[in-house]
Amino acid sequence: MFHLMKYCFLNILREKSVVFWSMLFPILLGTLFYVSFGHMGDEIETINVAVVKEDDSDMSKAFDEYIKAVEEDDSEIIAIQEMSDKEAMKKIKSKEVGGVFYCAEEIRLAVAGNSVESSVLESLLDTFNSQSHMYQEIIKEHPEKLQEIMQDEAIIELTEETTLTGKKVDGIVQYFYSLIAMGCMFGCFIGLQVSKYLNANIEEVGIRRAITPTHKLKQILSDTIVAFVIHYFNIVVLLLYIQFILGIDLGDNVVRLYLIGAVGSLIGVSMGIFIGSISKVGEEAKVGIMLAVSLGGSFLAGLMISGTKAVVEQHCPILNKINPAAVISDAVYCLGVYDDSGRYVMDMCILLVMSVLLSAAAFMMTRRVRYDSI
Amino acid sequence: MTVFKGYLAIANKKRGYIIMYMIIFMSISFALQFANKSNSSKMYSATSLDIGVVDRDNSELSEEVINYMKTIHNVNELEDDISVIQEEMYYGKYDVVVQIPEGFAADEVSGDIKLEITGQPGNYGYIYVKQQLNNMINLYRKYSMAGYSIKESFDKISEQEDSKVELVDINGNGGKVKDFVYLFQFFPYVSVAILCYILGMIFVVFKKRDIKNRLNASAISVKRQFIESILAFIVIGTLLWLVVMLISLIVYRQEFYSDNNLGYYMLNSYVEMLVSLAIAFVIGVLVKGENLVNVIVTPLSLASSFLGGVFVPLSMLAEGVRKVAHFIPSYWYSEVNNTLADFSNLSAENLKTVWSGIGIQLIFVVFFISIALAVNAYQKQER
Repeated sequence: MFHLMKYCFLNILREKSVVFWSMLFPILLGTLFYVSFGHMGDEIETINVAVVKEDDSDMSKAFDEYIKAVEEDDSEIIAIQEMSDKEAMKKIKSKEVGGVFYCAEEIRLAVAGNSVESSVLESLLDTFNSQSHMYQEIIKEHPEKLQEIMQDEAIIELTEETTLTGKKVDGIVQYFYSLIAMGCMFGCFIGLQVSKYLNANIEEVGIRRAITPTHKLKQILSDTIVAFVIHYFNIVVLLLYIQFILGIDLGDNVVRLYLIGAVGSLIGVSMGIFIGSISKVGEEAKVGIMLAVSLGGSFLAGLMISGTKAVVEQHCPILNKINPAAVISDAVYCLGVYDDSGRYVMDMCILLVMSVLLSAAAFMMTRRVRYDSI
Repeated sequence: MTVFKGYLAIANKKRGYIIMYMIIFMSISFALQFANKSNSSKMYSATSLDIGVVDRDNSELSEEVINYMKTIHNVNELEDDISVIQEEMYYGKYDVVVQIPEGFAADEVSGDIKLEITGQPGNYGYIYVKQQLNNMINLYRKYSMAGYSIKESFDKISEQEDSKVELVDINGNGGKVKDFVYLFQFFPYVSVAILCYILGMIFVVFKKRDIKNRLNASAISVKRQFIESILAFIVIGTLLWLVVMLISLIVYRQEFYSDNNLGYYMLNSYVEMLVSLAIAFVIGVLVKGENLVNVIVTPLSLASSFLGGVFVPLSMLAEGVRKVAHFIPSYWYSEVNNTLADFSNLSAENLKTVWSGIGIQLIFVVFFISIALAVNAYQKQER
């Protein structure tokens, strides 16, 4: 058995493209994710705003003061420039400014389309309007309290962001969750490679092995173990890379995380062996099926567009339970976002059962094959 | 035209691959349109979000806070059961969950006990809700200092009218990106992926010793072979480009052909296609085995798309990354494409951006072809 495993190991390592897809590609994609979204939402850039003074009313002056106070604030949200209406329109059309405030009896805001910038400006105006409304009311009805209120701190922070379990979650993290799922699923390339050594109609190694008296189960078992070990190594490298080099938080439960990696590698590899063992299908078609299952599955699990999984859940919830990529990312989610052991155990069971079924099916398909002439 | 026909015959054999990529390409761009539509309307403009509220305080104040939220959002009051909320949150039933902790009213809004806000990962709507709640409760705080009761304060807060916001329509579509623009946005990915793969494969075939020897011994001159192969390249590239244009025309009809900048969109994407051909030329010259073509093309197409603003808007990339991206042709394509999408009437300055973007892409074409020719010449000398 050890002998079988050693040569299977060497065989796989010699296939450069297999090593690339199962190990280097997920790391490369992770790096691209990190470079592209890694700094998303870090900070909002300072927004250039035009201010057009239309009259000298009290409201206009008050807004001018307010907006200057916001500008001088430490957070550097906006930078204002005073100009004429004509100039402001020109600048907003060339996108040099994100919006125009018109200071008059009633303050107006002009923006170009819906963007983060325009909603920030809108909320600044909302805050001003509601505060000025409040002061007007108080002056009208309780002028004696005005002094006290003016001296009070302007705004106290009365809300805080939490997650339901007390952990903070970054929006980009879910891309990495589905990346891990994809990485696991790409174990099918190793699985396919292994199945080539098991089927005499595909590769010469398969022919040679088919005529040996070694028991088929022994062959399948040793090959599966080797494929699994190699791919688990890939996944561990991927997890370490994501966690320590890219610095993405994958939760604190290390044992459970690496357990997901192990079960995920197993399902990837057994999927590959299963597809590879369908004897009537040509190799190109096999690769096609595998890509459809692994990449298509990862797509449905949210690899390309976040939120895909939620859409699937609304329209076809069963798919999220049988799509291995979705189940894997679900399990990682349980660790990183929602501290939910029950769900985690359930996910792991689904994956294990699937792997066992796939491996058993692969064995059934290969064990009784007879070749007329090879 | 034997060489020309040979090229096309090999390309024809790879049509399964081409169709696969086209399907991936189309589905990603349609999905993105869909996602962007629902997102942008939810995130910023339409103020109404789906909010779940857990009220642990059960005070008059917490009730008023909830009632106020109901005037703006779709609010659902939830049972205090974290696992159920988790489940519903997980599948996107709510954009935001707000928890009002016990003792919130008793604390007299001093800031010690805060409202807990949980947003859907990846959905920034919670920032908006947070601002709203913060502003509202601060207003209440001041009203109550002035001696108003809870009910009176919230009545006053509700009196406030909406701020006056006007939309300046720059791109002729109310500031919203037109649907077909997403298709163009993804064009560099599909063109690099498909053209580099197919042409790489063709090169691999033509590099086989026997075929090369046969070609060298034939009556067709090397120059003619070269011209025919270039012709085949351009025909394959143009076909791909035509297919994409045709799809846009069929799917988007009027929105597409009546766009002011239609000519520029088409020119920009055609030039981008030429860039992909030139890159394919380099790959073809360098690569020897079929497996290697895929190993090079997939990362290359993904990397240039990620960094060049095809998958992620350029504005979201970090400053340093954006600088590096200047050396990637698809960056310039995206620049031009974004300008066309943002402005329906191009100003002199916009036109400068467009033409310089297209010009720089053409320089890339010349650059890549020169590299390919140089490598080719060097390889010949080696032998």
